[in-house]
Amino acid sequence: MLGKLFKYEWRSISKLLLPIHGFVLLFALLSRFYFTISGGTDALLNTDSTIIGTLTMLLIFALVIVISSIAIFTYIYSGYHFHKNVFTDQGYLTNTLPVTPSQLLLSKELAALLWLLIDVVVISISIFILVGSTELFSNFSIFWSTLIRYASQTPLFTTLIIIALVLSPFLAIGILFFSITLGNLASSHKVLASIGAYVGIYVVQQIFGLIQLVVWGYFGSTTIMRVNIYSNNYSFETFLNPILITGLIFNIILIAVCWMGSKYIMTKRLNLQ
Amino acid sequence: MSTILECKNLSKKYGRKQALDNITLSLESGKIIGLLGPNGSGKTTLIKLINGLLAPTGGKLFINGNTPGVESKKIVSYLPERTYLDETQKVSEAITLFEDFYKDFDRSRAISMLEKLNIDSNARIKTLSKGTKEKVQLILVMSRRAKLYCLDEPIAGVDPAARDYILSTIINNYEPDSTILISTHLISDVENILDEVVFIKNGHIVLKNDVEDIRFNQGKSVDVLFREVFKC
Repeated sequence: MLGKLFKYEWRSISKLLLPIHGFVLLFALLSRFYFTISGGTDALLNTDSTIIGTLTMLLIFALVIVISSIAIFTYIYSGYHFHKNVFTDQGYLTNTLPVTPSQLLLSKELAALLWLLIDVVVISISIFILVGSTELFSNFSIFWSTLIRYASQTPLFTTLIIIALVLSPFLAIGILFFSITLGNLASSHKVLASIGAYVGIYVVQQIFGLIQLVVWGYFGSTTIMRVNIYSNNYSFETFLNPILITGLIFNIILIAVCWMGSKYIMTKRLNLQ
Repeated sequence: MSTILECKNLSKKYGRKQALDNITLSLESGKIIGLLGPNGSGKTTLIKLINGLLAPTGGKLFINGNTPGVESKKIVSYLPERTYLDETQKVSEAITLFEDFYKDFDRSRAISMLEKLNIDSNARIKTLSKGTKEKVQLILVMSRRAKLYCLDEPIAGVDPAARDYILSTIINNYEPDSTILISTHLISDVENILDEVVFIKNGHIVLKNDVEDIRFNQGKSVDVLFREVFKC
């Protein structure tokens, strides 16, 4: 059943997301082609013709906007689709299918997650299409090998960062879907209530962030950013590791709370209008 | 003959409004039952509770012995008062979806009903007229060999000829030991197909009787009795 639910969810959201991502890649490709045959962006921007200069600037501006907003768009659209399919008229079908609320929730979260990963790939490819060159590639290789070298010298720090990175899309989706289920507890203005719930969870995260900074002594009297200014014995990972650890634990708990909360609301507090 | 639906002191409150008040009701298998009442009497609320779309605020209900959940949804076929299909889908895709999720779905029945009505399977649902959309949903719902069919106002928004078609579809396609619960306020159109009627008013059951009893023993049509009971 989970597989079937995932299949239908995937098909439904891909109807919009696939063409949009395809458009982004195409836009990047065509722009790069245009820049290349015109002698490069520098030439275009410094040309005598103000029209071409302005249009080039607008094109670059549009590219930046489009590429940077594709992930946000995918994120918000996944949430919107969840709301529409479960809590509006379509919910009369979705919630009467012989499946558990967990299966519904999981199938939709997984589909959203997969699209977020595709976002990362598409954005990376688009950037590479636009600014890729052999020079960039060799610079990037140098950067990458330096990064690996530093990472191997700070294993705990690196591990924590990697775990945090891997968890972040799960957290983002979990919070999004929990906000939507919370918002649908309201009897009217459900979308507004969902946005309010999202803001509320964000505030909770920020408050926790502040508390953990205080608790770990980042605002102490003899320490600045937890570095004892009277001692010579410190490194950046020493002072970041503690908050990375507590931050990670908090995020794992938050993911669990979002999952269980969403599941509970969809099971026991579903009141479809 | 067994009990397909059992409600015990079932209540549902929305804020301050008591939509259903302490309902105790038993429905048997193999009957076509009319859930009749004026607008706002609680018919849709009861049907939504049966289908697990609402959580009761009091009491219990059981469908074939199960509380609303995966097991009950396998045997209940629900036609709501609204379009619940993803309208970007084609009719054929909706059929495949029903076939995928419901073991009791009979594809050949659905296809033949669509053909009889000249509905193009390749049409996107959003391109169909309101009446045709309702017919498509009805076909999907009645193509399941379910134990309980809940039809919420199946004929309210359609023309008289379509109404006759819908009612004959209902008669011709249900399983003999299944129960069909039809909620409506258009009494005279449906009373000829009903075995039993349940009158509901302000969230209370005011009457539950066999149609035969009303017609022969009391000598009135259900429509007339309804007007008496629900006089404003």
